[in-house]
Amino acid sequence: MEKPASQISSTRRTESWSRSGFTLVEVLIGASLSTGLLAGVLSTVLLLGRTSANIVNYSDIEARARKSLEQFSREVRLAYDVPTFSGTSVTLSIPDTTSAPKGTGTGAYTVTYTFDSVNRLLTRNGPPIDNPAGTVETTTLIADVQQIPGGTSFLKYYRYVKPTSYPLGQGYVDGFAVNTATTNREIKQIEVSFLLRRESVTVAAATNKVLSARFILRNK
Amino acid sequence: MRSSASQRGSVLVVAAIFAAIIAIALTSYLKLALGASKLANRSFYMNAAQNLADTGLERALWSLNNEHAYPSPTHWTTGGFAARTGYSGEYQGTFPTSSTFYSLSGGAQGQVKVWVGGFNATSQTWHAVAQATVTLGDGTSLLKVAESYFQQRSWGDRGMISRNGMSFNGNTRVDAWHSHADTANPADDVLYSTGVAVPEAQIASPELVSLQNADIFGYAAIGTDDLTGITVGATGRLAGNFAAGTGIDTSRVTYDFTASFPDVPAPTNSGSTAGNNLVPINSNLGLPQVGDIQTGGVYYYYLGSISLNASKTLTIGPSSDAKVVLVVSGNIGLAGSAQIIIQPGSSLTIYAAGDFDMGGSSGIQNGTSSQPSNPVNFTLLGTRTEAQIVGGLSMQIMNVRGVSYLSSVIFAPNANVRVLGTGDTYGSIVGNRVDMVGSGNFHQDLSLANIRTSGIWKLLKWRELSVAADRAAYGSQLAF
Repeated sequence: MEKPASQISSTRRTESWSRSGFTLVEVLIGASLSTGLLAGVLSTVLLLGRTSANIVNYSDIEARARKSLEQFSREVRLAYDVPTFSGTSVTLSIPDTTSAPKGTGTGAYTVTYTFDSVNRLLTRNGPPIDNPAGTVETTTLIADVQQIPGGTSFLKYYRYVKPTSYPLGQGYVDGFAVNTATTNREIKQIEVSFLLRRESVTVAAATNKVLSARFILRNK
Repeated sequence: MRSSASQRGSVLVVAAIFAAIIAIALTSYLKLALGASKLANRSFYMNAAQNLADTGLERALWSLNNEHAYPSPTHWTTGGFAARTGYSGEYQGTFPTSSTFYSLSGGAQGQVKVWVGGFNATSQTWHAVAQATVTLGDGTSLLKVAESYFQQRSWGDRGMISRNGMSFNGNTRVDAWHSHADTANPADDVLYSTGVAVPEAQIASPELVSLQNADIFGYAAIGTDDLTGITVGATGRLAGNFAAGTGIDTSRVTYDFTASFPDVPAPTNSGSTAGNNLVPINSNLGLPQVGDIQTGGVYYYYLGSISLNASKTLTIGPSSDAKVVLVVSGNIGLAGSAQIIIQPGSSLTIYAAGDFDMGGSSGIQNGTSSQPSNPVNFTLLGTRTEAQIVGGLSMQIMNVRGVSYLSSVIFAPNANVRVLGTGDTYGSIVGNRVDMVGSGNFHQDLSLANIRTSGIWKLLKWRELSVAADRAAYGSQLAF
């Protein structure tokens, strides 16, 4: 008699165990672990999202900077004159397609690049670069442009150094004090520098300092 | 049991969603990074292609500037060009060769094709188009096309230029006129007179220009940003007209002038400049002599020195249109009343490697004793090079004077030129330093600028062909 009773008792204990819920401690531990896990995953996702947005900003401003510099350098190399210039704007005279270095026939045009420090824009005013006969218009090449903190200007101008002493051939040298151009007659090189800053909501600002080579005005 | 299974499944789904989000984000990262990398890479190699196109154009310029060493058309072949089949006067070349490439970093390689043609004899210009191709490591390629025009320089396209300053003496007058020596018809030639003079003379130096009491009717280019680069005496002036006055007309001054001169390559006794070897000249001599050989209508003479004293003369001509070139490896000296006489209708060009010193009352007579021939008929070239100066040689000394005038083109960038005597000087002078020591006037011949026979070529114009239509115009020339 005792044996069956014992069997019944054992069965009841098993059923009772399988139907029982989590203890409070188990629930608390599980909830804590889940919260921690979820918080980690969420913060990771958020970080990924913010970083992605930042990378997009970086990539975008770098692409725009490269494209603008390419366009600017192309026209500086072609230019035969610099009718007007300042630290924020430069006008270039582009020759025609003939052999005349300062030809003003078909294909000749003037173009002005301007840094609008108020609206933070780099604009180009002139005909389309691939269609000199096209309509002159102002296009924005880059937005969110700023002067580099501590910098003196967006545009810098350089000249030949007087080759009066030997050894000669020192036409272009490094340095800012000795060969900075101050008149349009002596401008032989142009350098451009600026800071691009792109901001998005909840994302740290993406900044990109752009410092070009000194582009030589080959026809001037 | 069902409820528990469902919960386990939802965790899996949530995990899968998070994983997908992370995967998408990472893929985007990679794509962005790859795009930025490609853009940066292409920008880098676009610059390389630009340099490569310029390398091709430099090849063409090298060939033109080395015609003196490799007479035409071997200067083209020596420079790596070949005549374009079926097209006269056109050349083409692939560099480094048609089957090899310039190795660039990152597994990239480049090659440049160059076409040269369109020679214009009037303006002395050649046209060249270079097409550079850079093939990246991944097989993609970049293209840059640029064109250039090259023009032969004149020995005297400015009046008086020096690198290290210039000075005038006394009440010298400086003006200009057109001799019309640049036209084929000698009948239209014009002798200088005050009636044909124009206030268009050009003087230039990066260092101090000291006018003293000279009257400069024309322009001055100085090296400074202000008028400190030019000084003038109480009665001297720089003016744009012949009216009386003193002082400097600042509208006639340009600033920040720089000067960089090419070396003068001396001919060698071979090929298109083959000629006659001479012993040093120290007694009377007339050239050309019977039996002397000429090449291309020019008598070339190669000798060590010239030293004439007393009343000895070196006479060029009188045979009509005798064109004589003297290539002198040593010094040239004239003393006493020795003279170099260039008969009317003849011309003399002297390549001087040493000093050219005229003392006493010696002189150069280009024309008759009273009437000068065009300056282009006497050219004096100093061949000392920049490298020689750097190597320790001193500047050449050129003390020159005329008999009653000096009509000449003097181009000696590494020589200190002093013009002596009291007669007027016609033509142009280029030197390391120029001093008008005598009291004679200086008259610039504006026609010299159009006489492009120096054999030295310059870049006249450069243009990138960034528009497809521009590139297409040279498709056939570059299809090789």
